[in-house]
Amino acid sequence: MGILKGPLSARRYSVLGEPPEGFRITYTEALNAFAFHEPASKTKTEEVHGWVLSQNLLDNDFSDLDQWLFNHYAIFQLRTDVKRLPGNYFKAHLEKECQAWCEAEGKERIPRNIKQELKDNLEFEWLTRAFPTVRTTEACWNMAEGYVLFHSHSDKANDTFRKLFLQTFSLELSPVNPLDLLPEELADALEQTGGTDLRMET
Amino acid sequence: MDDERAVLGHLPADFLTWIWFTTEKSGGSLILEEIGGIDCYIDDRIAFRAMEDDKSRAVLTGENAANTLEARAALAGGRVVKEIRLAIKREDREYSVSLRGELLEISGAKLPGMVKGAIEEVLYDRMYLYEELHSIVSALLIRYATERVAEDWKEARVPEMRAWVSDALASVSGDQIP
Repeated sequence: MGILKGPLSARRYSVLGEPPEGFRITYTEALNAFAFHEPASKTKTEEVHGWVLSQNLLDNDFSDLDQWLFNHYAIFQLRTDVKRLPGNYFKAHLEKECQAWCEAEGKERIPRNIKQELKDNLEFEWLTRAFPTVRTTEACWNMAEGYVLFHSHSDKANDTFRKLFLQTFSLELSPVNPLDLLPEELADALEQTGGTDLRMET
Repeated sequence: MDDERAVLGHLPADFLTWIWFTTEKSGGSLILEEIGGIDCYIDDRIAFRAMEDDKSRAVLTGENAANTLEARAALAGGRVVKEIRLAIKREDREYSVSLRGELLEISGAKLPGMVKGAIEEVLYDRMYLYEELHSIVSALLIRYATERVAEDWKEARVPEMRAWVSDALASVSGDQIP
């Protein structure tokens, strides 16, 4: 949400370079190549990234240009999934399993390798059943003007976005600096100034 | 493409303070090059930080947040503006937007009433409005930079801004501050 609906909070990037001839075909293939796919393993805990359509985060097929290219605007979303176990809840359950093992075996302490085995089994069981946390962030590329809006101020999300954009389109993104908005001579002159101190003299 | 320019650390705070000062002095009406007339004033939020670090040290919210004694006292005490929320009106289009961070990023921008319909109609409308807002912020930045590099900045404008701070403090506190 943001580009198409609701309050807009975006980082603006200049695109360093231009789309190639025949970009409609190239970029359709590229977006499909880097589209979001569910990880093969249900127990993966690393973040998984990829592109999805703006209309629905479950749609990852970019073959229909009419779904993501509107005149000179390309619009899509970065989807990031991650599975996380609730730390203290998991630890409490593991503790109970360890206690149960000790009672069953008539031991006072559980050996480290057995505890690790119980932990691995419990993690596997829980991660298999767990739903991922799903985050989507919209991006809009104005190809005529050569800029991109990414609807997040998070440095981490922006880093992921820039890397995936480069992988997908072979074009680098440069965050727009306020000085970039000024005529060159004015920006040069402003660079020679310092901060204005409005402190009251005592 | 030219080499990337380094971010100018003091620019956001200086620019945001200038907007605050300029909009108050002008009564909120400004004429900007390539934009024309706009109404612009500080809306319901202003945040300050210490000069040396980036953490917010004071956040004032609510109606007339910028006109409070606390706001002027923050400037007088050496804090700098970190973020402001602006209300901007051009013709019949009203925007509300926060400018924040070293890149002066647009945050929480409320765009004027939008069209409803197919995705492309919504997209064109929203991007047109975003572009207008971006142009207005750029024009404000150009106006600020032009004044900031002018020869009389230190001799004329800075004393004027200091007087603006001290006069406001005096009028609110009832004492004359030297």
